[in-house]
Amino acid sequence: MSDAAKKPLLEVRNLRTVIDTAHGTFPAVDEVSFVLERGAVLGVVGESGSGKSMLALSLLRLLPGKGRIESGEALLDGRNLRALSEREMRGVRGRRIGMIFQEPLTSFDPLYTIGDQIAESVRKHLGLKPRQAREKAVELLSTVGIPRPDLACDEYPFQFSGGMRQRAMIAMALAPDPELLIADEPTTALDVTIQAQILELLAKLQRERGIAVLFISHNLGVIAEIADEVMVMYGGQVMERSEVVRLFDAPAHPYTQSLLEARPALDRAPSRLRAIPGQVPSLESRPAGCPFHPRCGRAMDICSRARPSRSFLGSGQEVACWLQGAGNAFQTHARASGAGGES
Amino acid sequence: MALIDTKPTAAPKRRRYFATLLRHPLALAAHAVLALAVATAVLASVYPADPLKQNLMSSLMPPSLKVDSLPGSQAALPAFMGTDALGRDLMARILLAIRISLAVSSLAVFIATAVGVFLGLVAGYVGGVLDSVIMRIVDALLSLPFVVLAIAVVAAIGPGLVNVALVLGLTGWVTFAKLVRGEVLRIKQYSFIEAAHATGCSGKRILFRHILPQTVGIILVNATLTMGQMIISEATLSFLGLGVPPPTPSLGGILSDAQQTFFAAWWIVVFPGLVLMAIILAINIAGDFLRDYFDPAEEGAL
Repeated sequence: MSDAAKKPLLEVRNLRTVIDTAHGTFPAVDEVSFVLERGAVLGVVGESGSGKSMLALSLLRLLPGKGRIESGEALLDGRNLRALSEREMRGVRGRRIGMIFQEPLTSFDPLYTIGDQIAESVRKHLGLKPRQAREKAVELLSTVGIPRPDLACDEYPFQFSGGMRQRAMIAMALAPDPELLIADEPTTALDVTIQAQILELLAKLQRERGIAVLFISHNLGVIAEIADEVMVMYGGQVMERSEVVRLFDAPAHPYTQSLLEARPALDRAPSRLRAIPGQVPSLESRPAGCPFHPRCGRAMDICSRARPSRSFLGSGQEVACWLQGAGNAFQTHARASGAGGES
Repeated sequence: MALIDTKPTAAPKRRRYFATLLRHPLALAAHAVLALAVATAVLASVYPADPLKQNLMSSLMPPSLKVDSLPGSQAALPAFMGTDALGRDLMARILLAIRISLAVSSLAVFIATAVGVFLGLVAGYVGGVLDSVIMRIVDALLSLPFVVLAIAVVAAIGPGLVNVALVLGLTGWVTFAKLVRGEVLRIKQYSFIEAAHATGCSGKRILFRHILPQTVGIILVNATLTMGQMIISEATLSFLGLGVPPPTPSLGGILSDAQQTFFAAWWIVVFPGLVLMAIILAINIAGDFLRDYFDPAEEGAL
C-alpha cells in the first residue's frame, strides 16, 4: 500500500516506552503498533499494569519522571509526535488530542470554577476572548447534558457529583475540538448507572463529531459497548488486536480466551468464575519470551524462549502467539518486522 | 433530567472565617491584641511625649499617674510607665518600639516568604539537580545557629533597620522553602495537574496558576508563626547590639538597656517584656488558629 495515499489519523509503530528504576530499565510499553482511523473507536483492554495508561501518556508525551520513549514512533496525521518540540507538543495536547481521566473527582483544580477551567482551554487553544470562552463553556456543558449550564458554569468542582464531573471533564476535553480523544478508564470510578450514561454520552458525541477515540479500560463489557476494534494488552505488549465482534466470537490468543472465560455470563449456568491463575508480573519481573507464558495453559517450550511475532489471521485480526505463528515460527520476531504491515 | 436540584451554597470564605473566629474566644482575643498592636504601631507618633528626649533630671522615675511626673515634657502627661536611665518617657519609647519591631519583622517575613516560596516552588517542581542544590543550601543554613549567622552578616553589612530585616529575611526563608517544596511534591501528584498538562498548559502556568494557589494556606500560616520568631529575633539582635541602632527604640533594645538598671528600675524590664510577650503569644495563637482553619482534616473540629 502506498504511504501517501491516505494517512490514518494516528499510526503507532513499534512504540517502546521504558521506565528507569534503581534496578535497571524496563519496558512499560513494548513494541506496540496500531493504526487508528479518523472517527474510529479503538478499545484498549488489559489488567492493571499491562501498560495501557503508559501507552496513552506516551502518545501525549506526558510520561512521569522516570519514563521515556525509547524507540518507535507515533504519527498524528503523518507528523511524528516524538519529533515535535515541547512547545509544539503543548499545541497538540488538548487541541488535537483531548484526554479524559479516570478520576473525575481529582481531575479538576478545586480552586477554579468548572466554567473557568473549560474556558481556560478554549482561550488558550482557540484564542477566544473571555466572554466568548464563557459562552462556549456554557454551550459545551449543555452539550454534555448538565442541567442549567449557565449556573453550573460558575460552580466549583466540589459542588458537582461524580457523574457530573465526568460530564464536565468530557466537555473540557472536547472544548478545543480535538480529532482524537484518549479516554483512560473514564467510567471506572463511577457507579454502574452513571457508567452507562457516560458511555452513551461518549458514544453519541463520538458519532456526532466524528472524533476518533482511544478508549482504555479493563472492563471488557464497557469496551464491547463502544469500541469498533479492540487491542488486548498484557505485560506492555499487544497480545491480540481485532474487530470487536470477532474478538468476542473468536478470540485467538489464549490470554484473550481466558479473559473472556473470566467474565460472568448470563447464558451460562451460574458457577464459580474461572480466574486466570497467577498474577500479572511486575514491571521488573517480566519473563522472557511471551510475557503471558507462565500463566498460559497452552504454553510450549518456545514460549519461554522467544517472543512470538505478529500473525495476521485475516479480516484485520492480529495476534502475537506461537500457537498461531506455527508457520512462521522461525522467522525473526515482531521487532524486526515492518511497521503498518497489515494489508 | 434534574441530576441535582439542591445545590450546596458555598458561604463566602471571609464570612466563614469570622464566624469560626467568634466560636474561639482565645483566638478572638489574640486577634484583638494583634489589631491593637497594629493600631499602636500606626498611631505611635500621636502620643504626645517625645520618645527620644533625654532629661537626666528625671532619670529612672517609677511609673506614676501624677500629671507633672514628667518634668520638661511639653505635654502635661504622667509617665505612665516611668522613665529610663536617660530620663526618656518609657511609654512613648515602647509605643514607637512596637512600630519599629512590627515594621522590621513584617519586612523580614515578606523577604523570607518571597525568597522561600519561590525557591520552594522551583525546587519542588523542577526537581533534579536544581532541587538538590537548593535543598542543600537550606540544610546548610539550618545547621548554623541563627545568632552566629546574624552576627556574621551584620558585621559585614552593618546594623540598621533595613539591614536587620534583610538578615532576618535571608535566614528565615528556609522553612518556607522546605514547606512549599513538600507541598509542591504532593500537589504535583494530583491528577488535575496531569489534566492541566494534557490540555496543553505550560509548566510555568501550572506552577503559578494551579500549584501556588494550593499552597497559600500553609504559606499564610507559616508567615504568621514566622512573624513571632522574627520579632523575637529582632529583639535578640537588638539586645546584642546588632539590631536597630540607638537611639531608635526597639523592644529588644529597650530590654538590653534595662539590664544595667534592672534592680533599681523593674519597670524598664517588665513593660517592654510584657508587650513583647503579649504580641508573640497573640501571633502564635492566631497562627495556630489559622493552621487549624486551613487544615482540611481539622475542618470538623473548628
